[in-house]
Amino acid sequence: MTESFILGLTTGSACLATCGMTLVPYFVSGNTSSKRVSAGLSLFLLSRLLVYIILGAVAWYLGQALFGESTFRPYILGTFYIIFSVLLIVYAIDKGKKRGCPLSITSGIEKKFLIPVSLGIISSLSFCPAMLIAVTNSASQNNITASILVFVMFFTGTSVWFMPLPLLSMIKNRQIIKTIAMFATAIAGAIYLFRGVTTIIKSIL
Amino acid sequence: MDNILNNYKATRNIWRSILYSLPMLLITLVLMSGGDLNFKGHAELYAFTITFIFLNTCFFLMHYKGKTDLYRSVVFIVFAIFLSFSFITNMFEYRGAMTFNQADIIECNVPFCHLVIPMMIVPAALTESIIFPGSILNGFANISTMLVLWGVATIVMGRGFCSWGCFYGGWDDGFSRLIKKPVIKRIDTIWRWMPFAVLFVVVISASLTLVPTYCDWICPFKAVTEFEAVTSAESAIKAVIFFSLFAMLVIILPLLTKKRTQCTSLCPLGALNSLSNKISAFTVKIDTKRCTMCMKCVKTCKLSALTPDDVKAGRASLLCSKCGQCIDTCRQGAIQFSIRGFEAGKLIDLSRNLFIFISFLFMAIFASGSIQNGLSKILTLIIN
Amino acid sequence: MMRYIKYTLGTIWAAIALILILILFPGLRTISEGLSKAPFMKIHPMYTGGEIIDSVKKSNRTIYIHRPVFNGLIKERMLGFVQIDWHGNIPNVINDTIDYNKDTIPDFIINIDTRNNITDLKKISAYVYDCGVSTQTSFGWVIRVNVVNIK
Repeated sequence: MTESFILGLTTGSACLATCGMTLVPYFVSGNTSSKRVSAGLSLFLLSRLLVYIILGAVAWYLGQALFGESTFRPYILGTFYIIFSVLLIVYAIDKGKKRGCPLSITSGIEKKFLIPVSLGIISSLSFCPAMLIAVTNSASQNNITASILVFVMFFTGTSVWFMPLPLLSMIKNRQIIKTIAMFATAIAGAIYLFRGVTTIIKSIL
Repeated sequence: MDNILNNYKATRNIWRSILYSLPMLLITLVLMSGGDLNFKGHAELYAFTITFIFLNTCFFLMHYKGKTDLYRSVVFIVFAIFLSFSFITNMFEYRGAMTFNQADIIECNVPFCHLVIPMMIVPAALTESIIFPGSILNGFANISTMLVLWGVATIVMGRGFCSWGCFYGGWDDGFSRLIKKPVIKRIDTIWRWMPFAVLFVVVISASLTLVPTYCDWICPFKAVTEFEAVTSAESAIKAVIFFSLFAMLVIILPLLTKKRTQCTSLCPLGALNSLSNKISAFTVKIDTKRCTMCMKCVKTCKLSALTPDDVKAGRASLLCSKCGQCIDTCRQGAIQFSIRGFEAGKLIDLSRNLFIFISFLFMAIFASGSIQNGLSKILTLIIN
Repeated sequence: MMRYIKYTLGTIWAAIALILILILFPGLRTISEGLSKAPFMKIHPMYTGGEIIDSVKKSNRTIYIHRPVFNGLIKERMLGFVQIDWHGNIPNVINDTIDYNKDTIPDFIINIDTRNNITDLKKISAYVYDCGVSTQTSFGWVIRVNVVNIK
């Protein structure tokens, strides 16, 4: 669980760096009273949490279906960790690619309270490499409660980054923060790559 | 020697430099000897004398020649080498090996170093304890003493600790000076923000696991101090990581780039120390009236702390370790040490003299123990 | 006016910096001793093994049983360890039954071949997990047995 929290904390910065620039205008546009911002943020986080709980349950069933008690379990897990962590590292350091935030599709929604809810749902279903690692972690748990808890801890870790979101517009040097966030994501990827490799090696030995 | 700061032509008066060096001479004599000039043997006497003369000569030349970085780096590099030499020989004398084992951890016999500090802050605040198997007050490199030394130095010098105090920095500083021109000329300045990401990750991971994760897994300087005995696959992997990182970031890349790549791109303590640059009493300022925007300072800065934007803004960035390299390089004398609150071009002599006195004094006393200890061992072998 | 305030404050700060460095080394021992009294200046039980809660005297050695360590960052962890020390003359074979939670019911039996560094743990209590560390020390022998938190 601690590990999932750390994963969320280190990679949530990348999510914020990518999608934060879409969320910030929403939070700072129009009526920026603290009540409105808090309400919007709460709806956003709540919808993310609900989606993650469902994902946790789905991941557990997937895990049972894919490897259950199979002797190949560590090999499959290790391989998934390696693939997703490499993707995470590439995702973090690929400077040339302009990362489009999927949240931009919410621009068509008219009902005001649905906007933070849809922002929350879409951001939690973005299936970025960090999320895929969380899915792998979740799928490898022994029971459904633990699987859901993995996602709850991942959510908690990422949410730390979204809490000060409304204040982001006040921060200068956002580019530096974005750079540091990307490096942190790459480091998290390296840690999971190491973990994937050692999982496979331990099973061989 | 027109490339030396114009201001210092006036101070290149030998008597003035001798006068300026006298306080350093007296203070180092008292502090190095501890007020007791009775030495146990000839080796100790010679070691003390050589160290004393070496340090004070460097200080005198720093003032007389007006070159800060050159003489600073000589002491800095010698400090790093002798620290490792003393440390390793002490470990062999005490434990018979450069490695520590489970018993050393259980008995809290592991010497403390300042790189642990960023990782202990959050756990210290929340658990009211130190997550390191060392001694609080006793023995070699105890926690309390190191905290005081680092704390005061950082408050006073800011990130200057990285160029005047850190006993590891001399390694990559030394290797970065071995060849005349860099083989790899262009390095993306984005890498200078990596230590902040490392700081973030190690602080979180250490807080949650209660293990100083940077020291446990990725500190390159384990290769020149001590590391966990290789008794398992995990400890073998750690040893490979330490030696690989040392080879890559401390030897090869500094050699090829002429930059302090470990300090620039990995060290989490450097990132933490950078934040203290905001409060330190001294800064590095650029007199934009004198500056011709040649950008030589940007090219020579070993920590990539200067960018063209910083030069235009008239001050070094938060990452500046006040080594003096840019100051020595600038042909126009546009870059200066400055007392906080003063504009560039004001009180140049006083600011520089005060800063180098404070910083060199710290470095000299901090380094003198290791240098004397190392020299004493070498001389004992030669004499006996 | 603001400029002169800045000059004054900057000069004062620089003077303080000079004084700090001048008193740092002569006063290092005193300052370190003062700092060592701060509440956070103690080593975490994960490294010290926790406080000793019981001792058992045998013929030529003493067994010290430490309080089980479950300390986490904010709350206790589910898995921790209990440290057992042997002080004195360490025999070639240690064979002792340990009750680490003082409930008069033995929790595990430890058998250590100290010459060949082979340790065998026989669990009695369901809360005993495995033997994490078993090593010779300067004062004798230490083991750390991983245990599950009852709470």
